[in-house]
Amino acid sequence: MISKYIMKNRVKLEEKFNNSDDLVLYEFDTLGDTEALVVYINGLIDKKALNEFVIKPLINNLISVYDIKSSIYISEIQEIYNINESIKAIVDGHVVLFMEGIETGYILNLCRYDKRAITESGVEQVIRGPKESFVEDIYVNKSLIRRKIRNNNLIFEQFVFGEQTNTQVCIVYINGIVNQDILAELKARFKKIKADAILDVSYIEEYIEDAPNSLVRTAYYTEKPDVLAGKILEGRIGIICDGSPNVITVPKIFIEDLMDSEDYYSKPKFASFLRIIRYLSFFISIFLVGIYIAITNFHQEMIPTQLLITLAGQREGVPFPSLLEALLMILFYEIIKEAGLRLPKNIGQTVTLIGGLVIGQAAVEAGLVSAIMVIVVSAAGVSEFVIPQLREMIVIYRILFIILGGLFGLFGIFSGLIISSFHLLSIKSFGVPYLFPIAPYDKEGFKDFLRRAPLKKMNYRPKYIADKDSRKRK
Amino acid sequence: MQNEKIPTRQLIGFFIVSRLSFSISNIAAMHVPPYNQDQWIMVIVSAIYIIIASIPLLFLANRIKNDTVKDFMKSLYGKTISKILGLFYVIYFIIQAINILTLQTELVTTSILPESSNALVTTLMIIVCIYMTSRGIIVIFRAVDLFVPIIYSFLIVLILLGVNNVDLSLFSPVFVDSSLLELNKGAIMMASMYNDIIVIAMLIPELENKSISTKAFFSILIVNIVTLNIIIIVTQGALGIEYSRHSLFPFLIYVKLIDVANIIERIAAIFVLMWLIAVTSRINITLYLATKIFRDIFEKEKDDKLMLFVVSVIVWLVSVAITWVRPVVGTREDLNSYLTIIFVIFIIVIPTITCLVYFFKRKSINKSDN
Amino acid sequence: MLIKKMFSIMILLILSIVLTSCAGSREISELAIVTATGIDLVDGKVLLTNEVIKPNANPTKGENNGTSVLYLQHEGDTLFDAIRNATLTFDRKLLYSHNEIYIFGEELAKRGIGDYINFFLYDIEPRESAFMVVAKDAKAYEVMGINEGLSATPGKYLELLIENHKYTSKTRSLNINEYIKYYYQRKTPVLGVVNREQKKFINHIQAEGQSDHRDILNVEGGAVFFEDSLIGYYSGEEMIGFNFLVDEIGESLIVFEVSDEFTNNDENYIATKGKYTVLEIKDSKTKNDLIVEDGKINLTVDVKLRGVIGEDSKGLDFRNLNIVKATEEACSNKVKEYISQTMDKAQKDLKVDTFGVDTIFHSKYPEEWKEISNDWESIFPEISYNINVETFIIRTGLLDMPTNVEKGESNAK
Repeated sequence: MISKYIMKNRVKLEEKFNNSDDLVLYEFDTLGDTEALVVYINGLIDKKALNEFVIKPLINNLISVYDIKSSIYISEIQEIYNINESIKAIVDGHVVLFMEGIETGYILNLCRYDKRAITESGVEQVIRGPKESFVEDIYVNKSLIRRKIRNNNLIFEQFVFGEQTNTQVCIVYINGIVNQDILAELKARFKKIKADAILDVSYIEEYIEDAPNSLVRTAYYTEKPDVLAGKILEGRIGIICDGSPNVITVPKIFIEDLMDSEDYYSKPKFASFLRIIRYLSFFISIFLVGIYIAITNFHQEMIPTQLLITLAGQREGVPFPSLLEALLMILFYEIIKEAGLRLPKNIGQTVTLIGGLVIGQAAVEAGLVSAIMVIVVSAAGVSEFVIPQLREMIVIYRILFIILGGLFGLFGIFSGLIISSFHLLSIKSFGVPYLFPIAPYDKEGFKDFLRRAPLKKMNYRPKYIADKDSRKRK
Repeated sequence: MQNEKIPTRQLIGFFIVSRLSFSISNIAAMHVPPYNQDQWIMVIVSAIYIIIASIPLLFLANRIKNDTVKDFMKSLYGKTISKILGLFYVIYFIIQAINILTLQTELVTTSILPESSNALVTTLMIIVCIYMTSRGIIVIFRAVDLFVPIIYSFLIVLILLGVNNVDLSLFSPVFVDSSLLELNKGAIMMASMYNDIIVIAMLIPELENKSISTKAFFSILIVNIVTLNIIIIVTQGALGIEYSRHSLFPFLIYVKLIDVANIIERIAAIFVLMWLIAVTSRINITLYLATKIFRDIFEKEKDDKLMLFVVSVIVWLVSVAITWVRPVVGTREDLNSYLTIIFVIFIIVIPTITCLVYFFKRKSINKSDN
Repeated sequence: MLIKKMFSIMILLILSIVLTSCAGSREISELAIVTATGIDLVDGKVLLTNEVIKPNANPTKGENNGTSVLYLQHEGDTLFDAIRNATLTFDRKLLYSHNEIYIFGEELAKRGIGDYINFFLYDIEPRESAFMVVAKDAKAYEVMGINEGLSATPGKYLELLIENHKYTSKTRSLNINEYIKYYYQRKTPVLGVVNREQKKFINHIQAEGQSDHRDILNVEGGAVFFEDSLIGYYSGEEMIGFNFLVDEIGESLIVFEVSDEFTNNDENYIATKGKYTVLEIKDSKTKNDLIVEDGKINLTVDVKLRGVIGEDSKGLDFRNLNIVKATEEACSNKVKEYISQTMDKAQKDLKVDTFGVDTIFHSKYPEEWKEISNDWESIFPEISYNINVETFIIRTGLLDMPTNVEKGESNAK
């Protein structure tokens, strides 16, 4: 409870915050000689506004403690009666005002802290289309979404997770489009979250995902408000987490990773072509090395004669078996890639260049690896960058398929392919089959799969994901 | 989405693919009388016998609509007899699984892995199939949407690529060298290998549209007969009548002959992979049904994995043992006569008896229902 | 659950380690790529000659006279035995899947090849699409190792020669599958032939002591088999007739003479007058039909061919439709001549039906066929035949008359 006496409140707060250095408790007298106390954390609030619109009117004008609301010029004031609530508000970056003689505290929203400006997305770059991206601040992010969808049915629902961090998490959806079953399922899963800390939205994903043992993600990550808006309009639910520039959407299906926001901003036929390229890259990056190993070690008859003669010449004198050769190449490739990613930009480029030169040219000339192996591995490596979202899956699966292909030839590749596709087939994201619309087949879904149909032709929202009765246009 | 059922599209697609596992490997239709250019007529004639043989089960399938197979049998035979019958059918499905697994092993070891042991290939395959079957019947059928387009487009491409080797003049004269007796003999032998109806009947409780079984059966039959005939005609046309008869895997040779601009050549391995997908679907469904009946007999949970392991290990051990000591495909004629006896017992005799019992007990069952 | 998972992973790992060697992986560097095979019979044993590619580790720095090859010879009781015996003297396993050509020595061909070619069908490795040829008057190994073309290997050289059959139709390409396909039905396959010949070596910068003659290969002609043994040869011209009869004629040429009455008056010639006109076949269709009349079998051969005038040394004026008709007529007669030449050879000399006339009889008179199928060889030489050829000239190239005729108004009719 909040005490009538400011002194008591002050002591209590100081005790709760363990005399933390950045806690400011400022006492002053108003015109009517009432003592007042403002409490806030240094650096989280707008001090100028506090001085100008709170303290100045209070000192100059306030006579009775019951006129507070009419004397200060703040648009968001909340009355509280519990000291614990005030603690929460102070941590959130609000100013709390106590007056002598009343058992009420006032939360004044004067949040202002330093945050990153809205910039172009570093990960999802586009040539055409909106370029702004989310920042770490949840309020800015919300405003970005609001600006995209000016609709009173756009709903934000607030949750707080993390025993220690008290992180604000917000789900966003459009009433009428969202599938109520999925919404209920998501809320049920939210109820089960018992998190210590939430530092990024991926923590939330881990608590609610469908296939924790899988390498594929069952939530879609984006940094861009226009992508999120598109997903929400298809009936998905967005999850925004304070402190994270990424927003996730559920339910997620596999083909989302192979789509791109730019598909919808380009000509449909060209977008379809790009999609086919993306699917090809996906298969090349996973299977190419494995199939190369399988064919050269088991099915030499499939190689055209002239190519086989060239290959035989190149393999001549290479000391390692080709399975080992491929694994070594992949290992070095992953090391170079990791080195290039983590280092500062200008050093990173040097590392990649030197690493590429050493592994590519020098190794071939020294006779350690065959030239064709370098070509195959780098073709697979380049293809991987076409779909960075699936990196986790591609890297591991590629190594598995190399081993399978090296041990059992195409039969091994087949076994791996069948098992992995059955794995994907058995996953469901919030009740939506992961490989929808391929399996189960859906005619409307195919309009936005390998080909991107013209917008006029896509009249339905995705089956299972959006509400049954909602259509884009009649 | 909790109680997902199998849509009709997937049901039909599944059987179209799983029948391919026989019709493009050791094309059984080429190893039955009349052994000449009239095999395709025999295949068409066999459709009649297939329909006749399937009548009892088709009738029963239309009766099980609102019931599980287990409850239906229990209401007819009582607990003990229905369990014994169930055990018989477990054995039947295990035999089917062994049949196709050994065939698979022999094709893979002779074509794409000529230097590996039979046991290795069988083991790998059964591991793959255990994983697939353990995902459940819904996933097995959902995979149909993914694999049918792949398999069928591959099949069409393969047929088209090799079509310039086909010599249709080999097929004349039509229906002269073979007698009606031979044709019918071959057709009956063919019909005795067509056991899809038992699987359809067993799957009735899982279907989205339960009254579809008759229609589905006929559409599956038509597609299968047409596909089989196209394959027979191109294979015989490309290899010649006699060679295709004595070739153990005629369509494999057909694919081996493909040569496009010296780049796409000797793609038999791709054909084998495509065929393996069809084979896994066949093994999966037999393993699944054997497991399901086993679970019913021992009254286990619906997703009890132990029974699957028991069934799979039996299939695995017997297959390894068989392929260890003797060839499978070349000596099939003996095996086929045993399979025919088994077919007659399980697809015709037992279902017919069940039909008769149903007619006698119909009134009492209807009374107890009301 | 965890134990179960660990157990299954353990099993998988152990299996994969133990069975790696059994899975039969073969590095390319452990294999020897066979590109041509010669099969001979020496003292009742199979003598196998293989052309094997010698891998070149630095193709860019190597000499540019094509890929280098090795020749291996090994004996055995059967083909497979001989191939395996090769590993006794050669360090790598032979890879047969890229072998495109099988050469049979004449001696073996005369004895019969049926029992040996089984190997190509039992094993998955050899190609069914590999060509079969007979080394005329020679052992198979005697025609191997000759590369006077631009191909990388001698095997490829011979393979491309056979694939060129469509330009002349004076030879034939027959692969194993086609041999087997018709073997049971017609019993008389006609294989390609390969000859070793001497050619004068034309090179002005000739090294000292080098012979001025080189060996080349020639694939003109065809080897006629009855059942599985060689009984005779067709010459190059007879092969044209043969290819017409079995409807396998390619884009080959017909060289024929048009009678003099259609040419211009002699005074119009400003250059030498030649004899021949050449037609390039663009499309040809042969239909064979049989009729039995009064116990006599009559074969009708209907040929319809479309072609382009490629050369004319006689000075024919193709602006005139009558001359075009006469040219067509002359061409048809030439084709008739080719066909009857081949028919005569088959009926009188070889006495075997190499054209599949029996299959026509079979499909047309199935009942009678059952009675006579066993002595078709004695019936075939007796059958009469008549040949109808229709030629259509569909283009005359870029000229309407040859250059050896004087131009001017007086010639325009």
